Amino acid sequence: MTTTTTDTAPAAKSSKPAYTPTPAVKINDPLKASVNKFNFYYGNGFHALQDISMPIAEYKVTALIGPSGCGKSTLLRSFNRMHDLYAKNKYVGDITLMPENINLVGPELDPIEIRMRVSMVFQKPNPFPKSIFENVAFGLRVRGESNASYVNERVETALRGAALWDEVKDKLDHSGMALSGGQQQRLCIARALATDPEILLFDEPTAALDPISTAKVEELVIELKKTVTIIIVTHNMQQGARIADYTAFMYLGKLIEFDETNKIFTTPSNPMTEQYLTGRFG
Amino acid sequence: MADTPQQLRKSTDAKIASLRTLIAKRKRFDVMFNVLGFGLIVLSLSVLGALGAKLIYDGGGRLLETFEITPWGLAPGNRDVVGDFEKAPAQGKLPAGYQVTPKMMTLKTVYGTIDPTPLIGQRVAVKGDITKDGAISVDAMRAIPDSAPGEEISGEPTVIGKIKRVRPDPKDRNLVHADFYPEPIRVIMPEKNDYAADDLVGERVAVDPGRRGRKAEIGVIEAKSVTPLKVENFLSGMLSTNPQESGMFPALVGTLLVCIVTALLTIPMGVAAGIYLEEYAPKNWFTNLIEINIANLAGVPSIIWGLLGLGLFVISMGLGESVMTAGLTLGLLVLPIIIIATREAIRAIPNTIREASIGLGATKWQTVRYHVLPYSTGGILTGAIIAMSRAVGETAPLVLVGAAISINFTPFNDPNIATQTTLNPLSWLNSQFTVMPMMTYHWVGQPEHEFHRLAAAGSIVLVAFTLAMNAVAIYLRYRLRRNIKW
Repeated sequence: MTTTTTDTAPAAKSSKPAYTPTPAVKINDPLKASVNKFNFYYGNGFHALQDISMPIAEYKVTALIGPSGCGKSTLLRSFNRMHDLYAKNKYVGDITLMPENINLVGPELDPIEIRMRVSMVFQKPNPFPKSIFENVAFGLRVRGESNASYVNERVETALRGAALWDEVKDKLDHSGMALSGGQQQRLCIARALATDPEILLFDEPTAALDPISTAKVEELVIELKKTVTIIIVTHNMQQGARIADYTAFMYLGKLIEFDETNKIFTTPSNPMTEQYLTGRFG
Repeated sequence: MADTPQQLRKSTDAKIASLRTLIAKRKRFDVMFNVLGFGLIVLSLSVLGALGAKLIYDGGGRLLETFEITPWGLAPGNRDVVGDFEKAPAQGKLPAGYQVTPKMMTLKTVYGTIDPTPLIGQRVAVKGDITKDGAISVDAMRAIPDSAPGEEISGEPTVIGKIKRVRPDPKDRNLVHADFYPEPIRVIMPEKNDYAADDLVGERVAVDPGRRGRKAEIGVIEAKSVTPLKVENFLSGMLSTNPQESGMFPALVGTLLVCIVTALLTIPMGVAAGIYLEEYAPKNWFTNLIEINIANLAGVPSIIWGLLGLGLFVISMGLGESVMTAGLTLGLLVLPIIIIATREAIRAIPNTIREASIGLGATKWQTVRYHVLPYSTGGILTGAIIAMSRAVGETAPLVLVGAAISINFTPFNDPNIATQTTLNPLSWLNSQFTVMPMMTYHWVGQPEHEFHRLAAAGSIVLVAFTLAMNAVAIYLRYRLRRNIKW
């Protein structure tokens, strides 16, 4: 398995344009993390991410966009080491977490430590078949938190933070699975918030939701960035434009362009980005 | 060549016709499967129904019958009066005392000598030998007025009652049977009796009238002894060489104990193995090999496990022919089933749940402990209980490890280890035992028909036992999966 990659395209299919990545720009905001020459290989040898380098600004929303199979979810899942769950996956390069400057994907770092600092919300709402309260409290329970009043307080704060408190405060003992899809997704957000993460990862959080629930989740993301750094994968470019401060466009495992959202959506410097955004491929 | 519209139409019609033939041809299989499937369902239900009906016809009655265990020393034919012992108020010149009400009896007379037919509905006094099955072989019989004064008679107990029905003996034309409903008989208690009269009230007793020729009045017995009779039914009775008195209590207890030992040994081990293989073990050729072998082990004939149990537990480990050996042997038999059931149940949990838990910083064990195990409990328990009901029905391996066929004690009061019982609460593990399928097997092999009724009754209990276990499994699965939707 090789880690050397080239910037030239593999034999391009007729309908797909050849691509030349644009180097990542420097940003002025303080950084929460930075991805440096990051490569990822799946257990079957597939080289899913190739030399990704990009900054993650603190208390901002960074969106990852691109066509299916471009590696955006793979990159997102690297941030809390989800790939460690499956054997033989391999990280090369580094994702540096500020301010300690530790390498998130370094083999010497315990993935559990990373996951306690970086939470994730998945594409399909996946509440536990437990009560609403226990769903939110789970992150605290695994940390060994047994002080009941503290747990109660954290659960309420998290549910308020996820704009779900008013809807569920009278039925905290009901099953989380009995909620509607949109409520379930906000419950999952509350669950991720309860442990006070530094980075919150969203993997297409609205893909399975109706437009109204989607709007609620989007408002929530904008609200949440005051307190937590957010990285979001989205298929919906309008959504990216609405909520993201920075946007990274990826294609076939490579980062094509990274810039401020305004700039990407109005004057992309890479012709491929423009073609994707105008719907000519993807 | 240009087609005319008619030709076109014709060719379309032909095409449609051929399509329809084709469809009809293909649909034949659907029709065939519908008919075959329905037929097979009807067939299997009728076979099941016939099996159930035969079992209930053969053994249902035996299951409900009760029998009286005659105390040792009371030989048949000694003219005991058997009935319910009660307190009696003072009556006429008799002071308050005790009485016995016999159950319905059959009078037997030789046709022509004494004809009970004219006495139907009248109050009669009957003198005769009371045989073991509760019938009276009539010596003399006469009508007496309702307010019969005390009359001195000599000899055997004379019972007063009413004749309700007279019928010829089905086998012997010279005999007549009459249904006889006796009235209470006053009992004059002996001076010395093994049981205090007050303790006997409410019990069924045998009253021994004592010496022949003693003077007594009609409807009064001067008892030599009054002894309680223990009433047993099939479920609470001990094993016996007399099929009339035999029950399956030791087998029932033995089955329960063996089942408990098996469950305690295998469920924790099987579930742990399933969790390890599914959640912890790496997926490689070696674990694949183990997986295939576990599936194979689940299919090994049970007699092989019996051989292993005999060699390993009975002989090498010296555990003997005991409850422990049986539990271990059946444990080996069902362990693969439990492992497979556990793995299936765990595999049904979507990976998104594991990712959610791991993503919140949980360790693997926390994920297993708080999510994987609770959500798969329904499936695991179902598998475990079904494995147990398989163990309950096994006979072959237990024949090999030495299940007894005629013991009249349960493992809790095994006379061979009785001295240890008080010291060691687990001494029953070393006891000899028998189990329900073993007894059924034994009874079926006996020549007397009455034993075959026992076997059928035993089968009903065994089937009911396993059905009950499966019902519990279904209920548990329903309860535990109510809030889980995937």
